[in-house]
Amino acid sequence: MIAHDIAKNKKLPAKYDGLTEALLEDAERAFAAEDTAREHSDKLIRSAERVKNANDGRELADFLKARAADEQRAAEWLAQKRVHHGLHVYRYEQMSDGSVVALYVTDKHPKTVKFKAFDSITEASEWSPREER
Amino acid sequence: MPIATTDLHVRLSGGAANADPNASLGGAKSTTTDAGATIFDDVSGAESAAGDTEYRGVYLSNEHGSLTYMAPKVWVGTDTPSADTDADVALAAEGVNVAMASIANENTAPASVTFTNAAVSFATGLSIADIPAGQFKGVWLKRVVNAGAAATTDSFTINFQGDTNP
Repeated sequence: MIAHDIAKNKKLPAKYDGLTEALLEDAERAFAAEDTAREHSDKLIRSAERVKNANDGRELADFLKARAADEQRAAEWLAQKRVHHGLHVYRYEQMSDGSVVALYVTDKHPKTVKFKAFDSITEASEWSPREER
Repeated sequence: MPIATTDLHVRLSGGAANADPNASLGGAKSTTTDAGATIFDDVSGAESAAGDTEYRGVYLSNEHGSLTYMAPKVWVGTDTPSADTDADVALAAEGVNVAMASIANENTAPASVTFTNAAVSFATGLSIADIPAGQFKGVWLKRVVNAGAAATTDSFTINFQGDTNP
């Protein structure tokens, strides 16, 4: 089946040119999510400090602090997810014969697009990259 | 008037008249029904014993009369990060104001969309193109329940945030 050949050779047909590069870019952003959340939280705190003494600034400062707390919680949750599930970015591509190749990147191997073949979309749908950890 | 939260809706998919979250499997946007609090059904004992992976498609819909919802982001938030469940999110492959492809049933994945489980806050959320007034963008959700998952009260939320002109 087509997907099995693709997974074996780790090479997609020409119509998918650029797809693995795009997936790696998405993965790079996703796997930096903890840092992204913390940096955004710090930025919101700094903004809250700047506006707190302005006219009507207290309400905005409180809003910014609440959002900063959300980002801190997100960073903590991401750290838990790394342990429980791993972080991953993935997609399914269905071939003309109905077979499916899953392309995935995990935080354990963030620079590598991996391939996994399935006989059908039904079979592929039950899978997620955390099963490969 | 700027866009207010009341102008923004997370609509079911599954057809213009669909009001059933379990039938929110892509296709046309529901014009009547928001996704509400129970986009996924409860996980039965049999499903948790065997493991269960389900999908839903929803639309972020800007129903303001004239203003564009600018640079919106969508992400999965959670109340209970169970070790036995995971929620992934993906933007529909179709562009703004285009109906999502349909999936065969709730256990069938949409093809050619990129799922992630790392979009969990505004800063880490998936960026959507601007949504003009009266238009929408599709979002796919995937819920994974491990085989043998313990019974628990588990939930996650779909959050979105964007900008508006005054």
